[in-house]
Order: sequence, then structure tokens, then C-alpha cells
Amino acid sequence: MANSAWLLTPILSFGCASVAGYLYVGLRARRPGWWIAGIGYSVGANVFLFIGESQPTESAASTVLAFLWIFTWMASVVHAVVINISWLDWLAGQRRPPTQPWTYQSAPQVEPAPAVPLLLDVNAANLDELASLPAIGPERAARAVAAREDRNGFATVAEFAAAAGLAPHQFAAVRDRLTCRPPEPAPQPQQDLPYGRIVDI
Amino acid sequence: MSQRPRIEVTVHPDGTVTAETLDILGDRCLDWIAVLEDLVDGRVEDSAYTADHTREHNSAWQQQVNRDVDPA
Repeated sequence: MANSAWLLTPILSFGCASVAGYLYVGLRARRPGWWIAGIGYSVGANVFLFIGESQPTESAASTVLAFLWIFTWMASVVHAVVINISWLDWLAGQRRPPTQPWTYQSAPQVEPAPAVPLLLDVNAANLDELASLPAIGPERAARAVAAREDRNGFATVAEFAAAAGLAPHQFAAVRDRLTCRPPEPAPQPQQDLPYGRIVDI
Repeated sequence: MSQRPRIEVTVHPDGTVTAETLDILGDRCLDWIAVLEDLVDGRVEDSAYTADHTREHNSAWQQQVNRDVDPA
């Protein structure tokens, strides 16, 4: 009921102050058509009322103007009742808890992004995982991976940041998501030399 | 001799803000980036390390050298 209280302004003001109620709902629901109509009704009702009062009583002009004033008043009330239905719908939509909007149901299904672990090991993460971090991107990730291969892994996360060319604020933004496990030692080539002695005779 | 850590914040006439940490050694300066962003309600556009960033490492290295020296 309280949400429909604005209807009282066109009803009780005989249309002269309809603009107040129309402005309230029009501005809140962002419907310019509503408050523009309210201005029209108020201006019309006031003009017909005051001009009619200045006319001689029981003259034809006075009767016509009184009729126009009452017609404007009634029109503003009927229009307000019609608007009130949309207004209450809009209010209900605003108060509805955020659920999956129905408009999204017809949206094309987007393939889920590949899952990136929360904590990335700078010595084990691949190019795509590094590139997915904020402020790193493919170019810096490629630079870091190249440096990692050159020096057989990073000793610290800071070393990774320096190799990737991260500015301090960029490093600060990602350092909580990075870890650095010591690189695995390069496999030693098997000493598969022949056992024994070769004797030339 | 270690001095008290300080942060020097400068607001320029064009509205930009620059800040420099002083006597905050090593990566500890990074902890202040988020604090400064909250303080000025903005985002860092650019940043660079000062000499203080490596000063800690140098002193640690110096201590290591001293420890390795035989006092005799």
C-alpha cells in the first residue's frame, strides 16, 4: 500500500499537484515518459482551474474550462493507476534477490576457462598459467620461461619477477600467488662405459 | 646505522601522487604499496626499486664475509 501512496497526489490535489507523484516514480524508475506526463497534467489542471475562475460564473467558457479541468484531473488519476502497475512491477524486480537472470539462459554457453592453480610454482608453471596472472601477460611470461630454461630454474620468486621484468607494484600484486620450489637437478648422463680392459696384441 | 623507516608522499599540482619509501629495506617496501593505494584511493601506475631494495642484501653479504674471516 505504501508503494502506491503516490497515487494520492493526483487524487487529492485535483490534478494540480500530480507532478509530484509522477516525478517520484518517473525519476526512481528512470521512465521520463511518466514524469513528463505528470508535468502535462499539472500544467493543464492549473491552467484550466485558474483561467476558469477568472471567467464570469455560469458562462459557457467557465463551464468548458471546468469540464476540461475535471477531465484533466480524471485523466491524471486513471493514468496514474495504469502507471502504478508498472511501477509496482519495477519495485518488485528491484527487491528480488539476485538469481540467475532469465535473459542469460539464452546466452551462448561460454567454455570455462582452464583451471589455474591458486599457487603457481615459477619453476613448474607453463606459459599459459604464467600469462594468466595479472600484469604478466604472454610477452612477460615468455620472457620468464626463456630465462628459466637458460638458468635451469629460478632460485627465488623475486628472481622470477626480475626476469619477467615486473615493476615492484606488479610483483606485489602477484607475489602471494607464486611459490618457488627448487628446480630438479638436471639428470646426469649414465656412465655406460665398457667395463674391463682392451688389450691390443 | 639504521634509521627510522619513512614514507615520503608528494601530491603534485596535477593531482598525481608520488611516494617513496625510505630506509625500508628489501622486499618489505612492497607491503606498503597496498597501504598507499588505500590511502590515496588510487592505483599505482608505475614503480621502481630504490637503492634501499638491495641495501639489505649488501649488508647481509657483508656480514657473511665478516663471519668467514678468521679473527685470529
